[in-house]
This record gives sequence, structure tokens and C-alpha cells, in this order.
Amino acid sequence: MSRRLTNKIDDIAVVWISKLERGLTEQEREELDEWLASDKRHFGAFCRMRAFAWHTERSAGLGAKYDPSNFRRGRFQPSRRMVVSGGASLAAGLAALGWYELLNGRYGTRLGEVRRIPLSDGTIATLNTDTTIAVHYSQQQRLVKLVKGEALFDVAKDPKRPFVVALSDLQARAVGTSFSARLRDNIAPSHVVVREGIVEVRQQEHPQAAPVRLAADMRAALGGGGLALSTLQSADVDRELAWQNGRISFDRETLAQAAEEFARYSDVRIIVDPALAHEEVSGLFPANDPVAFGQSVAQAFGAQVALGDKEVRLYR
Amino acid sequence: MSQVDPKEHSALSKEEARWLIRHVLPHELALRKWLSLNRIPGLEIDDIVQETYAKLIQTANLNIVDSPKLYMFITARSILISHVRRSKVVSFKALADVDHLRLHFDAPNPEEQVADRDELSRFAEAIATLPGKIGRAFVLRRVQGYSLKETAQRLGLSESTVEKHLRKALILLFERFARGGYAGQPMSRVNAERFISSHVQTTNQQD
Repeated sequence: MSRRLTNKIDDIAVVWISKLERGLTEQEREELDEWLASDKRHFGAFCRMRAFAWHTERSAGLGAKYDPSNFRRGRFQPSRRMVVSGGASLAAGLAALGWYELLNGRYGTRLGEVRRIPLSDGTIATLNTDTTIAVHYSQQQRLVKLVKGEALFDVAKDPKRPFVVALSDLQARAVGTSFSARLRDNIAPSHVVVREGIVEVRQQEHPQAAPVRLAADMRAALGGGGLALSTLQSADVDRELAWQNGRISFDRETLAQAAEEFARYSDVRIIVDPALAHEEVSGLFPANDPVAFGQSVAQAFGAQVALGDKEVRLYR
Repeated sequence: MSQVDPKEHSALSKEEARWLIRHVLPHELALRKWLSLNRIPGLEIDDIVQETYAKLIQTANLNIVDSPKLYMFITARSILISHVRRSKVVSFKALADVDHLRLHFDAPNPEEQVADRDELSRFAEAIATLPGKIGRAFVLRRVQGYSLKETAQRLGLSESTVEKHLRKALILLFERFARGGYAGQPMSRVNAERFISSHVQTTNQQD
């Protein structure tokens, strides 16, 4: 079937979307509003194409090394069969990375690795670097223990069996939604970020207390004073989850903090001279390339970079 | 009045966008097939599809929609019916036929479900099919994250030409993804028909 799925209205909608991405003038905005209001089909076409345009931003996750010629017809054709027999091997898109096999419902990633794991109920677990989860599904509930690290869960709906992620100190419970959980480490406290739907969070040490309900774009972190809730901008949620596309995102973090964050992803250490430690850095960087990070930072701050064995030194 | 971000528009939130991509777009092809089997003269399938998206987004709370696929078909069906009622040309029989349309749902194939949710490899393959400069423009701008200006410089093209290529890329990728057709929430046929018949009664009362 080769009939087009888009028509002239879609072509016009796409022109508006590219104008919108550039930023609309006041007059253009009025014209767009008028166009949207003049015909239901215009509004529908706009929503459909704008949603898809946003969706294509995910392709940034392919990373700077993506080479289309490796994916041309004939060279890379994952058959359904390969997808099935290989279990999670369909994560191939991401994973020139490499990962080890699962044992008894335990799944893990090595340093610097991101891996998508389809679970038996259709839920997709995406594991960040150096992460281990243990899956215990029963008739009553779908329990996943986050043993180590950070993971994103796109939960398949099953009203009869709630989906529960247990951290050592927090518990997050959902029916069908998308949220991430990170176990406390030396950089951040244990926290949960909700991308879609509703998640109920409670502290493990107060199992009887009423849970806290989180809606989309909310974050709950467990600090010294208990659960702290905050509302994030959608862009911040995307930034929090940049790792699923192999990126690290900084928004005015100090270089010292950035170096620690990179340490989660590789055994190459970034060593920052105290004179530079408080400089602030923003941007999206490939998580597995501390050298490239060091070089672009050096350039930005007029610093020197020295590459050693398993280390990147930044100094003035 | 609060300040308007020139790059945003209130018509569609990111959450709604995600909902459309996740729950509606995957079934568009099935909806089109169903519409083509129940063709009403003078009504374009594209029109019904676009109106369906519009109506879905105007639904107050998408989170409470339990089976988006079914909801999408029911919405399309009600649009179809209202067009038929408005049009004087269509025979009474056609109207009766529309009223008895049956929706059929196949249970999803779990392998397909998993395979097709791996969006990144879908992108890797889809982008590789984009021709020449359209593909190069898309990779520079969207995959590697260069600005429009830098992309234009690297390709030796004007910014407006790059924008044109990017729009073409968007349409081509859309055509490909919308054809990717993967099934969503499972629902037995019996349940589907019960749901529809109860819904149809309410619709009729409203009309």
C-alpha cells in the first residue's frame, strides 16, 4: 500500500511547525490561531504532526556517531525472529554497547551501558549505567527491586497487578505509567521522577503511612527531612532522563559535580583543578565520552586538558 | 497576561503529544483500513482522520481513556455519522449501514509490541531511508544537534532550503512510522462490542 497518509493540510501544518520551532512573531501567532480555528482538520493535522515532530527529537539519542549507511536495507534488517530469540537483543539500536546476560530475573548493565529490557508483561525497563534490577512477578503484583543504580519504567497497564518498584528506602507504585527511580548514591538522594500518569510513593520505613501521589512531571526525593516534592518543567524531565539516550545533561552544575556524574558512566576519571572546580557547565554530552567533555570544557573556559591513562585532567 | 513563549503553542501539550504518539498513531493505519471498508461517497479518509485527532485532543482528560484504540475508533465513527447526518445526499440506507458498523479488534502480537516499542532502532532504520540532502540535513540537525545555521553552513545550503528539507524529512518519517502499525492494548471482541453498543446509545441520545 503506497497511498500517502498525509495531504496538503499536513504540508501546511508542517510549515507552521517549522515556523514555531524557529519562534513565532506575534503576527504569525495570530495567523496560526486563525488557521487552527478555521477548520477542525487543520487543528487535527497540526496536533498530529506536531506530536510526531516532537517524537523525532528522540533520534538525538542515536548519538553523534550514528551512520545511516549502517542501517540501509540489507545491512541491518532485524527480523521478528531475531528479535524474539535474542530476547533483549532488539536493543541493538542503542547497543553497540554490549551487555551481559540475565540470570533468574536479574538484569544488569555495566559501567557506561544503557539497556532496554522488555519484561514479560510488556513493561519496558531501561537501565542506566551500572544498574541492577531484580524482577519478581506474582499474581498479585509486579515487584521490581532496584538493587543498584537508576532505571526508567514504561509500565504496561494491568489494573489487577500493580507495578511496584522497591528501593532500599522508597517504594513507588503504579498501574500503567512511565517513571524513573534512582537509588541514593554519593551524588543524589533516592528519588522518583514521573513522566506520565500517576505514581504513589512511600518510604520503606513508614509502610503504613499514606502514600504521596505524584503526577506527571513531578519528582519526589528522600532527604533528611523526609520526602520532598517538586514540580519540574517538561524540559527538566527530559533532561533528567537524558541518560536513556546515552547522554548526560547539565544545567549550571559545577565542574566538580559534572566530573562526579561522569564517573558513574566510565572508569576514566575527570580530575578538575580546584581553580576550575566552581565553574558552571550546561549542555548535553555523550555519557560515554569523558574525553570529549574535557576537551569542550577546556575550550569553553580557556583551560588546558591533559589525557593520561584512565584520566582526563583539567587545569589552567 | 502571561508572556507567550514564541516556540510554544497552547494547542498541544507535550503530554498530549506523547499520548498521541504512543496510543493513537500506532493504530492510524488500522483506522484507515476500517474507514476504507466503510467508505461513504464524498468523504475523504484523510478528513476523518484529521478530525479524529482534533476531537481526541479536545477530550478533557485523556488519562481516563482506558482503551485508546477503541476510543479512537469510536471517535472516528461518531465523526463519520455526524457527516452522514449532515449530508443530504447520502441515502438513508447508508446511514443505517453506518449505524451498524462493527469494530473488530485483533489481539496484539506480543513480539510485535516489544519490537516496535524500541523506538531508537526504528529511528536508526527510518532515517537511513531518507534520500540525499534530506537525510543529511536531518542527521546534522536532529541527530547531531547542530543549529539550523550550522547545518546550513555544513551543507552549503541556505537556511530556508534546509528548513524545506527538514519538513520533507518529517513527512517522510511520519509516513514510515504511521505505517509501522503495531497493536496496543488487548481487548476481547465481546468486550469491544459491548463497549461500543453502550457508547452508541449515549451518542444517539445526545444528537
